Amino acid sequence: MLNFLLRRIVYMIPTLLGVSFVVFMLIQIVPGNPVDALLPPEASQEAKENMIRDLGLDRPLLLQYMNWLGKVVQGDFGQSIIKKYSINELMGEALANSMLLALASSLFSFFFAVLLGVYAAYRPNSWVASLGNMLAICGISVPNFWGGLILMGVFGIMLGWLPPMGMTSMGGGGFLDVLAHLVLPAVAAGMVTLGTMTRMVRSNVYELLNQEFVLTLRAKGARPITILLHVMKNATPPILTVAGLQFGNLLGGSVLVETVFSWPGLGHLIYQGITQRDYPIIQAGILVISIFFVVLNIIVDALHALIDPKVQRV
Amino acid sequence: MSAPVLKIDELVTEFTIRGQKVPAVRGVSLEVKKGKTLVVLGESGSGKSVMLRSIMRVLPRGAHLSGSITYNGDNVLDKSEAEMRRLRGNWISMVFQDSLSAMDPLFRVGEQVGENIREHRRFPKTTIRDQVIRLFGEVGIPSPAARTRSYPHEMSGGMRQRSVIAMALSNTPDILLADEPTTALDVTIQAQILSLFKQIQREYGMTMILVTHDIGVAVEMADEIAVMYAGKVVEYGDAKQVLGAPAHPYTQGLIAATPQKGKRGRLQVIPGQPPAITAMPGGCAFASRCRYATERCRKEMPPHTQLAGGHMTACYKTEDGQALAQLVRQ
Repeated sequence: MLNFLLRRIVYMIPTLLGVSFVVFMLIQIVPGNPVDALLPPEASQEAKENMIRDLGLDRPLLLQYMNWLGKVVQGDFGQSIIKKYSINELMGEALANSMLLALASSLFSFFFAVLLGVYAAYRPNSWVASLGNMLAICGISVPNFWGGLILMGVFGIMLGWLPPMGMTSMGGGGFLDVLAHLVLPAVAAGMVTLGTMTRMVRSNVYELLNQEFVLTLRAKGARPITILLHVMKNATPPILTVAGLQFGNLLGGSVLVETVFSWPGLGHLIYQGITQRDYPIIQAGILVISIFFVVLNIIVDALHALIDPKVQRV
Repeated sequence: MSAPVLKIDELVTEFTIRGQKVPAVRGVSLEVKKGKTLVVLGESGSGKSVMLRSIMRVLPRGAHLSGSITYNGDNVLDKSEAEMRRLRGNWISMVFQDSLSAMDPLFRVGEQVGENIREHRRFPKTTIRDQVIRLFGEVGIPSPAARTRSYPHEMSGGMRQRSVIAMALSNTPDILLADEPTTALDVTIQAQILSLFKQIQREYGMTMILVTHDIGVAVEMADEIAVMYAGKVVEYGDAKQVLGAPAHPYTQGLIAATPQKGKRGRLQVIPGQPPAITAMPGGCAFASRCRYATERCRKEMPPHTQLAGGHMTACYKTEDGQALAQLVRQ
């Protein structure tokens, strides 16, 4: 197992190098640059050129990349061009906020997906199964930012049950306050995951229930709970695989939800970075998300190997 | 003669396929006596496996059972699901054909055998472990203690079938049902497993119902034989009678299609296919493949006819003693 983990961690390095290089180069293709965002439109050509030189943006790209990489390896993402803050600090806070949101929406969506999916597999003709199916289709096809706006409008503004945006109220910031602010964005971001996962769990469990070994279990006189236990253990590897990817998506992909709800997370930060051409922020943000994706994959694979004896543990 | 342990009376098992009721078992009556082996012989699709699963009531959703199955004076079909659960794996056990898919791939074999005990009795973990090891030894698994820790895919087919048998034996049941228990194994292992079954039967005094398509297995194991065709028993009786003097043209065809020692020449085949259960003919289901079939066979289902010594068959040919005598001589 240790060997397996070490090897996977070593494999991480080329993946992340590749990601960082591609991202670094792609940003350069996008028209516009941070100087336009920093200086007033009437600034002289000379002032612009001076600033470009100051920021080191006139040097060869490869050199810029190597410089940046050298610092990143030492754990320093540099400084935001626009905000003049250390990116490590900006990123740290945003990451914590995004984590909170991603955890909340995963908890919400994984819990209900497994509940609905398993129930629907056991009783495929029940109204709960139809409800699950409907939810799944809605979750997959309704864009999360639109769903978010509707949730915000209904529960945040019309009914006024929950705070419609932000992470804390004015002067607030206690645990309950943050929790209340968390509900709507978590549900909005989690709907897609809920939809995909419910369908996945349902079809997986349904298939497992028709397996020969379930028949054996019944013929053994096993209690329904024992049978459920066997089925769930067998359903876990595919569920974990999807859950890992979905968690990564929730962490990095909820840009729109974070923007709609003004949630000060990673997505929000990257979004700002992109609009202002704040290169170091974009690079750092995407790299951090990639690291999470790769680490999540390793965790999923490791758990997979723990559950399934046929998966090689070396 | 001892009373039957299990008595099946006019059992009908129907499945609902696209809103339509389709019978897989169409009125089967059988009985097994204590310590004896009944072999149910038939080709695939004859309803023999469904019949066997009906006894345990482990059928897919949408299956409907009628008739009666009497065990210990109670009709099994009247029992609640909770009562059935206590019966299954405890008083009546089952061995399946494919031991690999019959086991959960993610659990150790020993755990799965122990589970059978644990689901029915409250024993401390160590007692269960010791019992599993004892059972593994009993079914002839070498170094049983180590083998309990294997996963199903790590065992050979023969070893796996032995552990499935150990699982079925774990609560010393009254009746052992076996669904093609040797079909997935190669011939030498088949012989070993069959002799294991015999040994178990001697030691435990167990009653067995064995479903197979293999006449060789029937010859080896059967005290009594029931031949099934298209969801009905077409011939039923003492093994010696059924195999030695088959009365039904289908049984005759089956025996003629089996290679025998010392006999040369081409094997005979039964032409055609059994009817699909969705399109059952009105009369005798075998009529379209039977060389003795008459108009009457195609229109009416022949009733069960008693022959000498409890031997029974469902064929018009045997009703007229003449024709039977001819058939037997052939």
